This record gives sequence, structure tokens and C-alpha cells, in this order.
Amino acid sequence: MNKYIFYLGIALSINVNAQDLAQLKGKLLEDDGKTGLVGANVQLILVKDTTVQKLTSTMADGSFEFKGIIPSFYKIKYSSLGYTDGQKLVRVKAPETILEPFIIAEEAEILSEIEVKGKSLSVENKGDTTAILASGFKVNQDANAEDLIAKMPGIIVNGSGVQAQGEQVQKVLVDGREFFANDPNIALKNIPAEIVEKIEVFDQQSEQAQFSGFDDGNTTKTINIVTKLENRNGQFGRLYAGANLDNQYSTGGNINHFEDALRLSLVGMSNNINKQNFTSDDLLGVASASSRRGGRGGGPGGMGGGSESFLTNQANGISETHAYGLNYSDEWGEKVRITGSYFFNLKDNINNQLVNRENFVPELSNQFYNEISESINTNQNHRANMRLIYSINSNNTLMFMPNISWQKTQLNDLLLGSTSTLEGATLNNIANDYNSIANGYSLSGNLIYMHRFEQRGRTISLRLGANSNEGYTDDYLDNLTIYSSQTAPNDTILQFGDSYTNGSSYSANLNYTEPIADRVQLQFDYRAEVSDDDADRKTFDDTEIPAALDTALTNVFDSRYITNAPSLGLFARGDKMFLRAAVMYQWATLDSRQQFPQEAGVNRNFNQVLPMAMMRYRFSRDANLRVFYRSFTQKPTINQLQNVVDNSNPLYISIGNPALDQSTSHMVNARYSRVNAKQASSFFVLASLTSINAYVTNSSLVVNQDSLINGEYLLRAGGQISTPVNLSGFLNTRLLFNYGVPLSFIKTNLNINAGATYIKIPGLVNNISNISRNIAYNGSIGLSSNISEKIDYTLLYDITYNDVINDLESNLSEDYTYQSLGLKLNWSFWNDFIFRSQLSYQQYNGFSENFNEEFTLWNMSLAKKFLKEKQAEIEFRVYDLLNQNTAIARVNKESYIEETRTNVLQQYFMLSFTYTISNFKGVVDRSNQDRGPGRW
Amino acid sequence: MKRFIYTIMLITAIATSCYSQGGAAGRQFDPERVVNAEKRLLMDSISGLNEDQKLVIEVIYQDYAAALIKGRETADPNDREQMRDTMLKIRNEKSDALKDILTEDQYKSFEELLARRRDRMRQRRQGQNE
Repeated sequence: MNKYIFYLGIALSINVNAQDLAQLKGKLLEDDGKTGLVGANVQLILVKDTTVQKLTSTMADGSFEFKGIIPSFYKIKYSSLGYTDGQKLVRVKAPETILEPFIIAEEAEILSEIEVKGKSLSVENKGDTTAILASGFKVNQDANAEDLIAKMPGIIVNGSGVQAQGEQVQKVLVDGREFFANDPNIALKNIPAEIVEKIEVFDQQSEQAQFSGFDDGNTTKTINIVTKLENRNGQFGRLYAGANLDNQYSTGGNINHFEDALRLSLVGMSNNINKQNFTSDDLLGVASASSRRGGRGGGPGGMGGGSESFLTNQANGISETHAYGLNYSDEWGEKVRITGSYFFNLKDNINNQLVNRENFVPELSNQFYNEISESINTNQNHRANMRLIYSINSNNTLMFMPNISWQKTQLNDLLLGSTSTLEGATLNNIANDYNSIANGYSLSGNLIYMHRFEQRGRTISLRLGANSNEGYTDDYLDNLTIYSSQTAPNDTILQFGDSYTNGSSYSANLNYTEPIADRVQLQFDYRAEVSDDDADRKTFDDTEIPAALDTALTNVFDSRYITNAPSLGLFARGDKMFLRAAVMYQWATLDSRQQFPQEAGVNRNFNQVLPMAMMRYRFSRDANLRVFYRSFTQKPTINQLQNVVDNSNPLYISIGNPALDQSTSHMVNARYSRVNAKQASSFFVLASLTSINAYVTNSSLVVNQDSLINGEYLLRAGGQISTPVNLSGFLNTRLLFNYGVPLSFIKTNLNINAGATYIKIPGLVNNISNISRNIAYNGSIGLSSNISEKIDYTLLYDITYNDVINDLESNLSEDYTYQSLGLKLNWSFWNDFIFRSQLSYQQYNGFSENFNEEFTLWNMSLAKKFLKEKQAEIEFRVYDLLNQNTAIARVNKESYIEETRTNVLQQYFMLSFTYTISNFKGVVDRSNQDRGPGRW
Repeated sequence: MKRFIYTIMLITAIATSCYSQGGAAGRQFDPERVVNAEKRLLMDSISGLNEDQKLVIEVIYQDYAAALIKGRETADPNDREQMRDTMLKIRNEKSDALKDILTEDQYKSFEELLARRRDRMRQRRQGQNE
């Protein structure tokens, strides 16, 4: 007890209202008792709930203070390099507690790197959770949670979403509760950084695994935003509106009401400047023209499964967006917790593309395809979900989680394309006008009952799941294809089609865990699922009067997939090591039946042993290693199975393959992570390998003479048909390092990433195997300020080098480099004026002639804050000051390489007004608020 | 001889009984004993206490015992009202400190334990009186 000094002050106790907030002031002095120690880290930890922590650093006179804390007992930890660490237990009372100065002595041994001091104790490893304290990262007063996490080590925010510890973040929770279901964007872009206490990154397990404590390996990379205690009772948000004389506008905002367990959030936006703060649903797979034309090719996807896989990020092109949502979370009595949300979005998108594609043609010279297209897409979505947890008593819990999504989309896609030879001779020209209207819904629900027996570690749980989806598409195709060959006449297609898809699935999962020894648990699990899919496609030839059914393009198809999978697992826990291993035996049947044009069927059975293992070893409190192996199967989609010809681009037709097998994936993932509390540095290395057997890929055939497909459909010479096939040999390996450290001598956090990826995709081109190998090296270095709210900058340099090797094209040099340098600055200066600047220089090298490009996108604004609490702001903004913005992408596939240039928003000016709401009342009972990570 | 032994046994039994009754009636109030008993109840029965909480609880009870002793010493022994107010104030200060160091659930459980103990004592006293 000697190491602590107590400031309990019982005799001085006064009656305080527990809801009142207190302020704590103190001072760190060097051992002369006079000189203040500047830049030392002072951490405040609530003794009764150590998850409540605050961090600050001492001022020039050694003083420090914490505001807005609840009166209670706290542990104060202080440290500074070259000085001995110290800790004290203190009692804080409202309204203010002033501590006697702490004397901090110099360390006997002076460290050589004495200049690196004043770091923040900001990162902590707790089991599988990495907790990062927000107070270690200073951001501007208008920053949101996304701006904050972008400064944190191991987290990368880019156009395709958020990556944490090298993996895509699929879910963001707020205080352990869902916020607009599984849409990571809404939470990150609407929660202000100033109310965030810390960020927790972890792999969230399924509800049953969380309950039984037996990790089945089916996890979701999750970020939990833990809000400050003092910001959990009140209203907050911001509203904004802006416009210019060119009819461009942007309005929106969010309003949040937090009161005890009740949380209500309203978000909305309406703009025609491409802003989107949510993830779109695409149940029908038709939201963008490029995805529709993408064919049926396979992909490594399917890691997540479920309706979440419909979520896509922002579409290419320019969009006008209207989106509104409501999130509700509350506790009904002591036993019921409920979270629910509704979200609506309507988006008009115009996407102009220029496409250059090189098709591999073995034994002949490659073909080159150029395309100019414009697609106009209107898409609307409604989605609602709920999560209801009924704690019947301490041993019994019932959960109900329904989701419903509805989508309607309208597409008009015009394209002009041309195929030519290496020598430049034109093979064909195409003019295509494709229109479609589609709508569909997806309805799913899970009901889970969980029981805990008196015997510790003995649990039983049952999950029942159901899913239903339906989609209708009406489309019209008007096409003219002109062939250069004298023998082939020009083709005109006028056709309309009706497509109908319907899917339903029912699943059950029984899970039982039994303790068999101290720290050893056995698990028995049984899963069963029946999944039915129907797909009808009717195509009519509109050149005839009346329109006639085109049997070559008409097909009625259904499939049934049944799986049964018992598994047995073992979980052992030592002081330093967790070990989980399980083996699943899965037998599955896949029955595919074609009813039209001819009756045919394929029935197949699969028997698989699917092992999983996970090990976590704790080297010390701050360093751990997690190694994880999992195997799973994935059934082919109905779209891949149905052997109907899709001729929406008659030069690139595709057809399904009813003989497809399910694929089997094996995934190994190892992550070593270490934090150094003294230096406040964090380091992790991630290595992963995914191998897929019977991978669903494309077999492409470039026909050099007119050919009949399916015995009926005529594909002209030079045309291409692709069919999904199973091929083994898919491999994706990855190595990633990340190191983050605060450089306090320049008050900046340094974040370094380095990684390498090797992807091997098998494919068939004209029945000849082509393996596409892509080796990519990536490095990035980021500097983010940690100075004050007044000056906030982030500087990021990123370079990626890609080398693509195709077996068929081994003599072709296909390497290319992408570099970017970005600077984001937010500077609050004289009289509440704010200067904001966002500069991004991007350079593409190694692309084809028209696509080698460099450009700088520079946005800047000047703003002035006013009113009593500076809650109002007026801003003048210029987007793309240099008028250079462009969008380029490259895709490497097993049968082609494609470069795409897409239209982007060009320079505009805008005047906008923002009003910030911030009205917090005080502290509420934490035990009702924070469920913490991994808990349900 | 037998009569002698019975006489000795009877005298011993009466003496023991008188001594024990007289002892109970005449025993002095020992704040440290009472405080330690309550602290043991808290430490042994409330789950989830971390090391820092235990450390603070030790100090709270040390201060509580010291304050009780000092309160008795300084208070006017003839002014029972004043004595009662002083003791009540010291007890409330201890309760406030416990509220600050324990979570809401821990404090609630502890209060329930104390209430149950009071009930048991009351029942025992009632049983003795009957």
C-alpha cells in the first residue's frame, strides 16, 4: 500500500449529487519540488470500472486537469520518459478537487532516446480486443469518428471503406449497441469525435458463440465506439445546408437524443454533389451498369454471407442522393433490450465510362475492345431491422433479429463498343441501348434461445433462421452490331424480357457446451439448412408481330441445396494460451432442375470434413499472437447455375453452368500484435492465406467463326462467351505490417504500413488454362497531428506496385504503379476563422497510353464560427480548385485486363451554413449503457 | 462423594451461566471489532472486486474505525443525542465513500447483505427474548 498515496478525505466529505460532474486538478513537479514537468502523460482510471479512462498531458507548468468526470475514486498513472512512473489513488468530489503536487523523480538510468518523450498511453491489448483511447489523438472540433480513427494506428480509411488490423470493418457499434444495423458508414460519419472516449477493435463472434464462450471462428471485424460518460445524456448533432448558383446543393444532418438507456438518432441528407454517408443495398445486383455487365464470374467472396453481402460502397459517376434514417435503442424494463432502425435512400446516378479492355486469345493475337457508355440509374432502397433481447432470467435469454430490405431500380444504359485486332483492324462495332426496371425484397429473421445451466460452462442454445427474397426485372434491349467480315451480316436485336427470381432458406443450429475439466470445455454443434432458389427468364423477340418467345434466351430453372453438419469441438484455456479446435462433417446435396426449354436435372452430393482451429498466446500483458484456421464451403448462386444466355451485350454473352460444384475454402490467418505502453507505440503483423478448391471462375471462349450456343443462340465470329466453371488453384496470400508511434517532439503520430499480396486466379481461355498472378507491394506512411483542436493535419503517402503475370501472356509486361500523396489540414485561427484544405496528388504509371495520368485534387474552404457557443458556422468552399479531378481504375481478370475512366465531379463553389447542437445534462448510470465488445 | 461431585457441577454451571450473562451485559463496545466484521462481510461476499477497490475499502474501514473511536472520545458521554448524531454522520460518510468505490450493483448487493444480517440479528434477539 506504500506505493499509493490516498486522498480519501472521508472526514471532509460533503453531500453531493451523484449526477453532478467534478473537475480534478493536479500538478507534476520534478524532484526539486518547484519545476513543473511538461508533456508527461497522465492517465485517469475509474477504480470501480477500469474501462472508464481519460488521458491528458501536463502543461508547461506541470499542471493537468480532467473535466466532466463523475465523483468517485480514481487511479492516476503518470509517466514521462527518463522519469520514474507513478500511480496514486485519489478521491474526486464535486465540484472540484485540487490535489497536492506529485513529485516525479528522474530515472537513475538515462535512456539514450531521451528526445522521444511525452507520449500518450493510448493503445491497449485486452485479449482479442485492441482499445485505443481517443484522447491520445487530437482532432479538430468538427471532426467525426471517421476522422478520429483515420489517425489511429492499424486503421486505414479509404474510398472502399475502413480497414482495421488489415481486414475490412463490417460493423460499427456505439457503446456496444448496433447503430443503423450493420452499416459502418453511418456511425462513423455521424458520431462526432468529441464525444468518443475510446475505440475498440475486435472480431465479433456470433450470438451463440458469445453466449457459450466457444468461438466457432465465424467472426465479423467490428469497431465499437465507446462514448464519454458525460456525453450519454443529452442531445447532439449538426444540421447543414449549402448551395451555389449552378443549382448544386447539399443539405443534411443528424440529431441524436441520448437519455439513460434510450437512444434516438435521426440522420438525413440530400445533395447532388456525390456525397454519401451510408452503404447502399444492392439486392438485385443491378444498381450499377458495370456490375450488370460484369458477367457471372466467380470471386473469392462469400466470406461474410447473409444479406450483408448485398451492401456496396459508393457507385461510380455522379449521384444525386436523398437519404433518411432513424435508429432507436432502449431498454424496456429490466429484461428487454431493443435496437431497431429504418433507413431509406433514393439515388440518381449518371455514370459515363471509357473502357479499354485487352482480351487474351490463345494461339491467336489478342483482341482489343473499346467502349464508351453512359448509364443512368435511379435506385431506391428501404431497409429496416430490429434486434430484441429478452433476458428471461440470469440463465435464459431469447433473441429475435428480423431484417427487411426492399429495392427498386431503373436503368438506362447506352454503349458504343468496338473490337479490333492487335494490328488495328476493326472486327465489329456495337451500339447497345439497354433499359430495365427491377424490384425486389429480402426478408430474414433469426430467433435464438440460450440457456445456461447451473454447472459453470454448460450451455445450450438453439438458433432458427429463415430467409426469403424475391426479384422481378423487366428489360428491353435494342442493339445493332456491325461486323467487318463480309460473310457475317449486320445483326439487329430488339427484345424484351421478364426475369423472376425467388429464394427461400430455413436453417437451424443447435449448440451444446459441456465442461469436462477445469478450463476445458467440449462443444457439440449441429447445423442444418434447406435452401430453395427459382429463376425464370423469358425473352421475347420484338422484331416479330406479335412478339415471339425466344426459346434460346428463355429458361425456367430451380435448385435445392440441403446441408447437414454436426461438429465436435474442444476449448482449453491456460494462463497464457487459449486453444479451440473443432471438426465438422458436412454432407450436402445440390439438385438443379431445368424445366424449360427442355427438362433436365443434375443431382450431386458432397461430403466434406471441415476442421477449424484457433490459438491465442499471450506473451505478456501487451503482446499476443492469434493463429486461426477455418474451412468452409460455398454453394454456387442461382445466377451461376442457370444455363440461360445473357446477351445484354451481344459481343460478350454469358451463360450459367448447372454442373457447378460447391467450392471449399481454407483460410489461415495469424496476427501478432504488441503495444508498448511506455512509448505508446503499437505494432502488428498480419499474415493470411486463403486457398479455394473448386473455385468458381470463368471459362471464356472467343469464337473465330459463327457458333451456335446451347444449340440455338448464334454467336458471331469474334464474339466472346463466358461460363462459370470450377477450377482449383485459387490462392490469396497476404502479409501486412503496421507500426504506430507518437513523435511528441513534433506532437505528431507516425503510422507506417507495409504489405505484400499475392493472388493467383485460375481461368480458362479457349479451353486453355490461364493462371493470372498478381503480386502487389504496398507501403504507406502517415503523419497526423496531435497538437490541439486548433491545428489538425494528416499527411499520407501511399505507393502500390502491381505486377501481373498471365500464363498465356507471359511475355507481356503488365506491371503498374499507383502513388498518392494527401494532405488534410484544418486550421482554426484568428477570431474563430477556420481554414480547411484537402489536397490529393495521384499518379498512375504503367497503364496504357490514354490512362497514364497524374492529377491533383485540391479542395479548400474558409469558414467562420459564430454565436455564443460557436455553434453556427458559415463556410465558403471550393471543390477541385485546380479542375483536374479524374477517376481511373484497372481490373485484372483471368481472361482480360481492363482499364476504366469514369466521369467525376468537377470544380464547383459552394456557400453553406452549419449549426451544431450540443446539449449534455450529465452522467447516467454506466452499467446500463456500455455492453462492451463481444457481449450481446 | 457423588453428592459432592453433583454440588461442584451445579456450582460450576451456575457460575459459568452468571459469568457469561454478566460478560455480555458488561462488555465494552469495540468499534474495531464491529468495523472489521462489516469489512470482512464486504470483502468475502461481494464478487468482482478488483485489487484497487480492495485497497481503497481497507482504507475506508481503517478511517471509519479511527473516526468512530475519535468520535466517542470527543463526544460528551452524557449527551446521547449529540453522540448519536456524530456516529450517524461518520456512518454516512463511510457509506458515501463505499458508494464511490463500489459499482451500483456491488453496493446494492452489499446493502442487501447488511439488511439480511440485521434481520437475522433482530430475529435472534427476538428469539432470545421469548
